[in-house]
Amino acid sequence: MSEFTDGRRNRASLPSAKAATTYQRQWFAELKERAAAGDPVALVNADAPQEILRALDIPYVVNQWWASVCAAKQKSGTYLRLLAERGYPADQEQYNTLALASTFDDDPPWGGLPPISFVLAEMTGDVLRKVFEAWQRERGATFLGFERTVAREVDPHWWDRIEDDWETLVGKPRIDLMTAELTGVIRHLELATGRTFDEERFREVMDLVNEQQRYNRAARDLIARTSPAPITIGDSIPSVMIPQWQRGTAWARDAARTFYEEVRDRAEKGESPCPDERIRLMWVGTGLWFDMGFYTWFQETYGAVFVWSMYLGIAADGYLRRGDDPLRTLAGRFAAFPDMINAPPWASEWYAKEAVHNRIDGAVHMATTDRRGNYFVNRAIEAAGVPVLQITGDSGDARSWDQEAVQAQVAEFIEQRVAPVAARRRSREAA
Amino acid sequence: MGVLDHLEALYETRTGPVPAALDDRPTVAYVGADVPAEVISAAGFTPFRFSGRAGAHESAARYCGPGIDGLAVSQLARLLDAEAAAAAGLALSADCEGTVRLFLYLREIQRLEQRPGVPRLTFVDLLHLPHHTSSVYNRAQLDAFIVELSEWADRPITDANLREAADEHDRVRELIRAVGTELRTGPNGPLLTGGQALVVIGAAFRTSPRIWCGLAAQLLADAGRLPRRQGIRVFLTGCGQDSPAAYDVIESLGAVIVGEDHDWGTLAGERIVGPSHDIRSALVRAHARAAPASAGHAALTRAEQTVRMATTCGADLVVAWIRQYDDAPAWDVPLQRQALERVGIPLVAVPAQPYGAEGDGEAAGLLATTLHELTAEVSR
Repeated sequence: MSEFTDGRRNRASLPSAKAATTYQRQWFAELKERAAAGDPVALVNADAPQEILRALDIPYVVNQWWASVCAAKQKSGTYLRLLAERGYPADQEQYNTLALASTFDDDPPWGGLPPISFVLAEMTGDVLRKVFEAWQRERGATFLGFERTVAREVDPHWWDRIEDDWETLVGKPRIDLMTAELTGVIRHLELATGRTFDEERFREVMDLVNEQQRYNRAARDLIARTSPAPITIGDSIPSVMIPQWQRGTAWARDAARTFYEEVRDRAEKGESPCPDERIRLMWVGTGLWFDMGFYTWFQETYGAVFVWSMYLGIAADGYLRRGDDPLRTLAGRFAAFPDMINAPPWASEWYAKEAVHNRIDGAVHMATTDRRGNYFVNRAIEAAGVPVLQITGDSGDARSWDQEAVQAQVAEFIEQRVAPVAARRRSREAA
Repeated sequence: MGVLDHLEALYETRTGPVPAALDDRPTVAYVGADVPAEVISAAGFTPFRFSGRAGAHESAARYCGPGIDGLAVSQLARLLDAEAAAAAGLALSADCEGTVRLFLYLREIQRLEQRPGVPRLTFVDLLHLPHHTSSVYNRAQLDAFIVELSEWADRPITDANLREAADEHDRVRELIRAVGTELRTGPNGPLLTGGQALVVIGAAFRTSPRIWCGLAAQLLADAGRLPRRQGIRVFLTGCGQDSPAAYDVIESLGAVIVGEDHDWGTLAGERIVGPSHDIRSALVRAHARAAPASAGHAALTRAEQTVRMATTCGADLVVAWIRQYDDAPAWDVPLQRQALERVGIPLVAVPAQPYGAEGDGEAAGLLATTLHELTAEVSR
């Protein structure tokens, strides 16, 4: 996902990361060919149930992936201005609006998105529905929305049981709703495209997704217990996320397996991008697409390696679901997806659990707004004994990013708060 | 004390602690326009709509970073300061992201720290997509809310109780609409300022329907004594206004606000339950769909509603008042502007203001210029 940054370039070293970015370009070219031949194309938000499109063989582009391409091409400032010129707010939901804005650009990255026939999104927050309705107005796409629901009570420690006990953890009413919504969306897509949703094909897609995420879980666990870390997030993000957006395909499953095997081989040989690893860091928040080289500087300067991002973490813990009814099982995957990364207590307790599991010494939490429940996330991680630095930044908006100032801020954090924690961990582990 | 003074005194209780009882019934505080207050009434409580208070945010500041609506931050601060401690409970809804965040954070604070001054709380998750699937979910949510309120009240809530409460609240809504048609847009011109109208309507959220209806009926009966208000007739859209601060800014520039489409004002009169085959389904429809606020509803729906209400009011100008971190209204503005252009009503959008702000220089300047131009045009 990060290979194509035009800011400070990421130095992805895993063959799977390079293969993934190569594949993505080829896939996008083929998608545009299919669109040119008359195939309808969908745009989906990251936490929408893409599996139904896969089963229907409707090609789709993930909104956030395309936003990351636009941001990496340093287009975010221009695109936000284009939105403002049309009367839309340019200071909200930047990450979610760049794709729409890219359709107003005469010279978009990669030749631009093909015409979009459907947009699928879950509606966390007050704005997403309006953003996707704008797609309908501006570009004639049909908006197929999924409600965001909120449970009255939740068990904070979801990750241990959710693979099988999702119905209890998420709650029957929420699962019932999303299952009904999925049924309606499938019928709409069948009518609109003339295709038939094949149950057997859908089961195959669901199985492929589970297989893929099991490899991701194995990779996450291996990185968590290995020092020096066999890879950094500069590798794991493209190696995990491009296949994530292709999930439900044999290619994505195989890419996840290759990724795991590369991590395993490196671990067995003791290879690492930072052999002198002294500090293990976690990055909380979306990726810094316009400055992916940011992460590398700390590695070279302090032996401080960003070993964790939510992309591999949530792939490992958030997607695996087993159940007899595949549509209901898919609802079990997505009905509470925003809770896992953005709402207390699910998100906060999970970040803390991941910090401990990955032997993290310090967390850098990037946020512009408080959508994630930042206080609760930071509190939970700190309560687990890991210091947290919150920085201001938005993956979809390079305008306010002050690279030098943030670098200095993180450097000071590492020197003053993280280094002692790391030293204690190392001596504890050595003992 | 005149009836307007009486209503104003009731309205001003919004900034103080929630009373333990009103009209001889224990109170249940609620946050979110979607909360079916009829269920609270049917359980034998008096619903008390809990607002924010400008300047009250300190206790919540550590929990809420930037990006959370200042109204929700203020409400959280007041709740943590035990300002609803006397209430028999607190009900929140999913009317907007601010209320959802308020619930999530409050629930988490209670899990981690258990503040004694926060009453027991519940959440009624009414959704807004205009689909049958959402209605089915909403109905289950309402049923669960009724069961919970029944437990709070320690008595069953029957459909007959709900019907009776709905009739009582419909009477409130009927009078809110009458305040609009008779005192703000009637043939004798506006007889209330927008700020006064906000006070009159807002008092309904802070006392029992019985008491408020008596006062409102008296105010309507005494309408002949009210002076006619002069000025450019403004319709207010955008974010909700839980205080008259924005009204004061606009009306201090020589305008009179004759209507609004937020749920602390005229929109509160639109959630009509009416005669129904099934009272519970009717409550769901009324609260989830009948009066679309900006959050949760389509920009097109909002634009159509703004045009309908603004033209009914005979508005010369629509002002879209946008509040920082209340993100939805700004997305309505492009469609509202287009739709209003078709009926010849201009729209001016105020740059996003902090919660409780009385309008910065830029906002006041923009409004003053627009109103000046409109006044000159009307004089010509």
